[in-house]
Amino acid sequence: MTYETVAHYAGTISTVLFGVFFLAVLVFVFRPGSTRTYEELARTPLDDDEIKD
Amino acid sequence: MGVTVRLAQMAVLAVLALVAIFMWSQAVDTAYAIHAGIFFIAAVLGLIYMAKNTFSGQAAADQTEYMDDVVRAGIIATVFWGVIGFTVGVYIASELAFPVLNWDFPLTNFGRLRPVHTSAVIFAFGGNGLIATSFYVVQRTNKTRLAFGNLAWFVFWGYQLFIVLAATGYVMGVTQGREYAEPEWYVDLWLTIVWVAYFLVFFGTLVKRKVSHIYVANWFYLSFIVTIAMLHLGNNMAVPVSFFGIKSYSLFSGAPDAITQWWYGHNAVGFFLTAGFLGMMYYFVPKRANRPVYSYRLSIVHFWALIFTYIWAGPHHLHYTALPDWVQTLGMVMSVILWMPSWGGMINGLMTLSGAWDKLRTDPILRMMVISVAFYGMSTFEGPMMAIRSVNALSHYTDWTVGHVHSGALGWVGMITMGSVYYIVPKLWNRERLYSETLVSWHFWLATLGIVLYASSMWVSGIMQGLMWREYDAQGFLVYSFAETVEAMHPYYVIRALGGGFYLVGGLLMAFNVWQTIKGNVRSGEAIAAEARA
Repeated sequence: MTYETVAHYAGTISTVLFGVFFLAVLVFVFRPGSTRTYEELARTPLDDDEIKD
Repeated sequence: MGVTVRLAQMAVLAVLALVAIFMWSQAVDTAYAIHAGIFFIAAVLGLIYMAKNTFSGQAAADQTEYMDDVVRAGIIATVFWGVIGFTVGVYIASELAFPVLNWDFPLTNFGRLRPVHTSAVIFAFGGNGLIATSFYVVQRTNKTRLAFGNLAWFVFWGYQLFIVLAATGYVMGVTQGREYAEPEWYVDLWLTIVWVAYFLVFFGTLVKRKVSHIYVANWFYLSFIVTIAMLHLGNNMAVPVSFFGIKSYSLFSGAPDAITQWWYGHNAVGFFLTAGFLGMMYYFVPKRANRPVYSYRLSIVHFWALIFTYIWAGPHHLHYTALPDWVQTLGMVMSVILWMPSWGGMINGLMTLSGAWDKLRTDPILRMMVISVAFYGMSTFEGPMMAIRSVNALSHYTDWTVGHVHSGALGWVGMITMGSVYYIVPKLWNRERLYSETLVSWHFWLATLGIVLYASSMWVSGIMQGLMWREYDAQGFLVYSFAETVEAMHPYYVIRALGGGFYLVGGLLMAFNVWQTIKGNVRSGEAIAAEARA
């Protein structure tokens, strides 16, 4: 295998991997039943004045 | 903290001081000797300070409180370096308009002062703002104190030393000639040490968090810290000529060197000037508006889309060069794609105000944050457009680029930082309110007007300059000489300097306002006016 073939496949494979990862993020973020979780998380900055022990 | 630990830390400082003396004694050039001297003074000052604290029987830090001293120091440094950086900026803008201001003197030459300006605003003003707010946000959103005790203080003072070494180097002519990464190899090594300590403090705090989910602002801050480390190491791979001299040579040459530099340069924009300040936006905008983030789902998608895309955009700085065509095309396409995640983030920031839009009328601090997000949207539309090769053929190397950078830097980075400073100062110093919100309003309008003057004069000047460069006559000769374009740009340079001056006056108002707030003063009449509104 020459450098060129390795470089070619590496580019294609990593593009696919990144694409799949991003789609997985989308699927995960929009998973059913997560709306309430995200609504609570969106309030994180509003409730932070006390340190927890 | 135990006395043994303190003594060990002091031993490290003593060794650093000895190393500095050795570096000074062996120095092969004056600038290196001066830098060794600065390094020595810093180590000795640290030693004296620590000796005083260790033996004065100071009580151990209360682990049940947030570590805010270092944040307070960081905010003061942010305001201080901001004023310095804006001042140098106005000065060099005036040098371009009136070249006599260069005084034919190396120290005051535009070429040496320009990196002082860029480093002061990006790394000293922006960097201190990022470090200070990241320490503030990471503690509050994870409900825990900063990790590793006083290491955060080492990060703060080590970073100030980096700034001083960089700036004094520039005026002495010490530069490796890489844009936005001008400091030479030994200053780069020092920054590496400081940055690793910064990463440890931030990441250590995330590890010992008391909540299960890491809030999205911390993701942006962390991506900024990690990516800047990677970029710094990649871009500064150089071989020093001597270990006791300033000069080094890059490991790369030709086109690979150029693309390494712009891989660094554009990702410094992406991860220092964008991701870091998005972390600021995702905490301070909801906080000030007292509204939850518009869509937390969008913030996650925003994060991954932004970091996957930004890293490829660098080649658009090298259109029509020896860089392979496919790399140029890749950079152009990725830059255009980048428009989407950028606007996703802008929408998320702006829509966080839904249900609180009325606050824009009464709250100048929130107004400042919102206009910063609006400028973010504007410059992230302009950027992808300028990255298209045929547009770039006109815009590249002209003032249009300078205007674009400044609408992002003054508008987005500057306004979000100053809005956050105004929000954070009364909190940090336990004051009921700022010294004066009227002055914030003045600052808002001065800064906005300054940016409008700056950006619009540079659009006109830049497009004119680009058109004059490419103007041919019927015989195929160039119509204008270079000097003619410079002469034509003079009025716009004056307007630009004026715009910068407006922005600087706003910065001075901020310094005064912050100083008075820290002293605990409230401008007469303002407390009553605020109560009447509420």
